[in-house]
Amino acid sequence: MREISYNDAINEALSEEMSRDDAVFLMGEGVHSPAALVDRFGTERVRTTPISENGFGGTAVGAAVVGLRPVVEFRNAAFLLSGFDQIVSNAAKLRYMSGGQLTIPVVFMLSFSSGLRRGAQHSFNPLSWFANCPGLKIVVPSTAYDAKGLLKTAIRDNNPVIYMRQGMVATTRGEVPRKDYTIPFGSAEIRREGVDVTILATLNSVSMSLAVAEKLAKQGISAEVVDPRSLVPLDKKKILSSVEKTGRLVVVDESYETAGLASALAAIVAEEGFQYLKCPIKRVSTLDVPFPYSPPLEDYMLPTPEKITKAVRETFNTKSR
Amino acid sequence: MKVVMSSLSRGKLLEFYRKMLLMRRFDEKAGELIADGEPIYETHPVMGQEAVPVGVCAHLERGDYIVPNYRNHGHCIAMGMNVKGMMAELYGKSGGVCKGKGGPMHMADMSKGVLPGIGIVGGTIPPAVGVALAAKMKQTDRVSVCFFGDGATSIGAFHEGLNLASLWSLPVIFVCENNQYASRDPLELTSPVKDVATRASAYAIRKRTAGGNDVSEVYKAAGESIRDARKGKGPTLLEFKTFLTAPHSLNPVMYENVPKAELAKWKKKDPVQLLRGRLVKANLLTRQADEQLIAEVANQIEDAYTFARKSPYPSPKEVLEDLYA
Repeated sequence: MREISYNDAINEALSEEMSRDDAVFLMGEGVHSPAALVDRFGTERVRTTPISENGFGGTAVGAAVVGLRPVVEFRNAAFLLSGFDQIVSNAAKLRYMSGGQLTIPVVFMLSFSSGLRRGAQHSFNPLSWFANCPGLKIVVPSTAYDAKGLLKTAIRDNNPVIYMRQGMVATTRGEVPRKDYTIPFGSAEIRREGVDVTILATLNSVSMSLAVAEKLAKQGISAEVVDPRSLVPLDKKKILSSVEKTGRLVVVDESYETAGLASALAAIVAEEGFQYLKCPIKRVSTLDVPFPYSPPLEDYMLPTPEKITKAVRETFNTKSR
Repeated sequence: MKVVMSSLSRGKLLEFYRKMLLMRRFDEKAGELIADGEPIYETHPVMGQEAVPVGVCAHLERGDYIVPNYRNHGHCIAMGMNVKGMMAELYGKSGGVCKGKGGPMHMADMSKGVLPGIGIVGGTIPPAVGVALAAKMKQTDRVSVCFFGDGATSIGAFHEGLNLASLWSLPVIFVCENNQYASRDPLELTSPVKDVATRASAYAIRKRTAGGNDVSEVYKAAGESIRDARKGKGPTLLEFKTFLTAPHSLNPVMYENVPKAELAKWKKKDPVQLLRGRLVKANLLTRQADEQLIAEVANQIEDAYTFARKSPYPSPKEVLEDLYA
């Protein structure tokens, strides 16, 4: 199969969905570049916005309420902090507080840049904040294939969807079919099968965990790597059945350690799958400090192959129940 | 003023009067119920400002939408929402317009073109811009109207929304109900400009300032702005000077600091009394007809109250419904 970049997979999904449905349009900062989408669909449907996240984020909400299907490009997730009110107070809540009278089919596309030396204010990963905002769905595509399939599902979904990319992942390439396909939300993917330990990982941590799993295999540890692909809804069933098989769990996610996603995922397994566990769950998260610029400092705070390996080893060192 | 009066039919003026009476009685009843200790936990009265929603919404047609803020009961009534459902929503009952999920601030009825009242100051503005964007992209002549107070003109959403609406020439009317207080804070402490419509010039959009207590004046000013929007001439910032003659919120813990003299001055310009006086003077309303109308409206509100009391609370498990489509 042909290989294309993650970003090309996104543009292909946008282009296909905009051809399929006239209600779909793209708006946000910098969307006129690359020009392919503008050339094909015009500036009415590929709208460059002023730098005003609260303004155009809320505009997308209003347009969605009355039947359009906006895809909003926010670029850096840290910029969205200026537009948080419209996402949290309006996108996530209007349907509920109206008693289900309206739908808000909008996709908010965000990225974060951890590990790319962008410093404190451009590397920020707000996933755990959004996960704490009922009414939003959240997808975390970690491959080019998922980038296309999940974006198509997001565009066709009748709810606000946070589509979260990560700078490190967005530079990757992968096999992507030319055909139309969607990936259902709430469907985790087993990236690598194993029997001794489950590594539950998101975004950049997926490829990192796969590399760790390869090394561990040579040392006689068979690790299963599970990628949830969407955080809301979450495929609890596949996660729990993996833990049932392996009896050990390491959760790797780049949100902060305190009240982060890894904590939330670990809590679900602790509560609903405790009987499967042979040892305590281990978390590998980002240390609780703002992002530093200096490479050795940033590398030290983020999940690394060494930290994942250590966490896996600790699940074997702990005395089994 | 005579000219404006004569441009409105007797039927229309009486309809305006009836709606304003209904808003007034709804607010009064809510206040009485809260004072009686009924389980209604908050409501933002529209007393003194009734002419604005009536005069503006009278121009709207099917397919147009409004985005009101938390002081929305007047707008809901102006758009023809059922007061039974509204009263039940005050109680959080299952017969409420939002099945008890929204409450006093967030009433909505999409079938009447009313988006949920937005509780965050300025939060009405970007969604209204989006509704207008959809109207334009679908090549219709529909418009959207958002309502907000003078306090909202200092928040970013206002400026971002006006900027976008002007840039894309969208059919949206920004209606500022300038009641001269942002919650408890007088305008002169929060805004460098007295006429908030002045702010429109930064975004190269039309502006209009008018009195907000005379429904005929409101009707006329709004009509021009809405017609402009329908014709593709883009947005207008429409400012109505008015005054809230009730507390910011009928929440038992709120205290108020509006000077008594200022309040008394505005009470003399009460929009309901103003219209009643004009109708009587022009021989369009007899004392008898007036009394009958007041009694009818009072009965309608009593019926709404009875409906709300009888309506059951939602079953607790419904808390998980209506989140996702």
